[in-house]
Amino acid sequence: MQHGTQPGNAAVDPQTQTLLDQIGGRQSALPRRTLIAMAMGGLRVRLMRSVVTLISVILAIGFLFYMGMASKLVSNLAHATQPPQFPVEKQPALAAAVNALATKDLASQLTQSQKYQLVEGLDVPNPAWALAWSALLASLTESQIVELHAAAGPASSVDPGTITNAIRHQHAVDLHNRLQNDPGTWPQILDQIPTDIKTDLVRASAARPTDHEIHLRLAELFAQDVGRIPSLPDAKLRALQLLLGWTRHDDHTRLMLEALKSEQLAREGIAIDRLLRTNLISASEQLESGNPMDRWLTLMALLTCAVGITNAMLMSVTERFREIGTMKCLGAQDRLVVQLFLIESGLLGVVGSAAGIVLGIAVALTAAALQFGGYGMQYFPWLGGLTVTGWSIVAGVLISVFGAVYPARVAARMNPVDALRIDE
Amino acid sequence: MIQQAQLPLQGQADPEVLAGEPAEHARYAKGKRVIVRVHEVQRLYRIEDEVVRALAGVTLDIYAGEYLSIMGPSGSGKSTLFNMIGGLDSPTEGDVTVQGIRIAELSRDQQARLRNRCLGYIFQAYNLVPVMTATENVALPMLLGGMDISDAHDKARQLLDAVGLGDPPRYDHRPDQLSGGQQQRVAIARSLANDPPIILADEPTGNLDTKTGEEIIDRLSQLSRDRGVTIISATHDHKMLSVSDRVVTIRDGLINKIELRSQLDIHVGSIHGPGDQSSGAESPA
Repeated sequence: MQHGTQPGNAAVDPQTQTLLDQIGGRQSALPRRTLIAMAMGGLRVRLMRSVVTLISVILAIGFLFYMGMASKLVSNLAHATQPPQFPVEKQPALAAAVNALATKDLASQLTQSQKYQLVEGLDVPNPAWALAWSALLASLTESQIVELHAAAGPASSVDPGTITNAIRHQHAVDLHNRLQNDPGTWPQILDQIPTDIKTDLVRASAARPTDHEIHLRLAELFAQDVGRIPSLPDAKLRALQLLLGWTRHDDHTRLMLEALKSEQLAREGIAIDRLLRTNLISASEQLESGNPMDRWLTLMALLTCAVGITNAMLMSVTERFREIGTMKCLGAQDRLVVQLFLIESGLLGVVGSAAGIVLGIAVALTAAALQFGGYGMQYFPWLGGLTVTGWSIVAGVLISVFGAVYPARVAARMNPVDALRIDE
Repeated sequence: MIQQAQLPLQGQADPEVLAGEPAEHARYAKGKRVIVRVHEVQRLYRIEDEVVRALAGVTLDIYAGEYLSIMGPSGSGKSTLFNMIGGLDSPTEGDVTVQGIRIAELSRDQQARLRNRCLGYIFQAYNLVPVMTATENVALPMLLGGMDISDAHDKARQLLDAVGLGDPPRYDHRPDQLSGGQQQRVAIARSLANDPPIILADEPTGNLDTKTGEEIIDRLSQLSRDRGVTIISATHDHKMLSVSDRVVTIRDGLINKIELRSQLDIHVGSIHGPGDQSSGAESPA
């Protein structure tokens, strides 16, 4: 058979040259708007799968966000103002108390009902209450205490003098017990107390003598320093006395330390209920111990989310073999297919993260209100929440995109023939 | 930079497979430009431990502007040859040259751009992108080719008009809102998007009823005539064969017969195609 084709025919063909220029030219890409529209279309058409994937992102990011907010809230509560000035490392409880009670206007800040509560509160054998009470007493003059008692109303039949004495008595008993149990402890503790405080302590003991031998012993011990020191406000002294009494119980010490971590909280401590304190302390402990359980949970949530997204995107690839094959036939380059899948899951990530953050805020606010009451709201980390929001969005989008990298590569590397051969 | 194929490739098929007188074929080819050249193409597949030879050395020239049908029973290698021409598959041995460019020498991206510029595809199952409207589907190859989106949409509407989807307008219908024939017309419009010199139609009437199928066939042959587009179709639709300029029959990975339309008419009329005995077993792939 002979026909008109010469060997050189193709080489001189101007159409060939045009084509060569076209396909050898620079990369062409779809406009981003089109890509996003296509990705959104893909999500819309496979709505059920998209929604399920979205929920997994929302839950994971919501959880992450809540954890971040909770730790910020506890941190806010625990560090509401500046840290104690007293040498903390030696006697944290003492340091906290002394610094906390530097505030003198305690009584003026209380509402009537709080004052009433205070007086009533004495009946409750709760260290936190007692501490707060003593802090108040310490900051008041005798006449103020009487006034307070009067303000509390006739319901309270407790004589202020009795109250003070009761407290003192109780602590004297405690100190005594401690002394008896471990007499070696006292000099140690006393060594760590500044001399001026000791002086006042002795003065106070002298001013209100009780028949309890522990006060006498105290006086004896402190007497060594007497005369050298200018006086200290009674407030600190009395708080100190009180604290010394409580130091016997390790857990009480910690309780007080936590409660009095800042002046602010010390001032408000009276109104803070038992629940708050307990929660605050446990939360604070979690915070300080690095909270491995929560970190683990958060990590697991994020991993599950990543696996879920990968799975969903793989399904999406499988469902769309034919579509991908068609697009490749039409001239879609591998890069475009990758872009398409990454944009699709990136959209899921953005929307899921945003919704997750809304969910997280709701959960965090509810939890704060339940755990810490009004203080939870007052110290809710709105500003710190911005950082957490930023991180949550970054985490959500990154996880979504990383989850889609492998499926996107699978899709991009398929041969058009193989992709088209799949029967749907 | 891609080089043009410099080898003086032989595209002449084995004279034995030519139906009728070789001179008739020579007369047919005279003055025609070769647009696709398939030279000694073999394609081997390894299925488990067995090597399957889908194409066992096929040589064929396809001329610009002709309407060529490839037919053959299932498993004959017809689809493989079809995919080779379309640049969707690469030969184990031999060369496929499109517009003087050897496909094997192109990178994946270049192959993609070659398909985009040079080849239009029509599939049996239409293969429209389900999330896109008719206009968007037709515009897609243009966008992939770097055309501005509003220009692409304008041209897409013109093409839809040209395939009869302009009145009543079906521009913004999604594939699931269109009938099979309408979808296939969208697919034809899409295959014309970048004015490719070659259109590959893989069983374009396979999923359509006879009447709609005939409409599609008429449109394709009209395209071939009016626009000078080379149409290569894999088919066993007899109506389709009857409008073809040439019919190539593949059997057992080799070209079994090449017939001109005049010979088809003489030998079998327009009702019975040469691959008739096995066409019933044709798979819809």
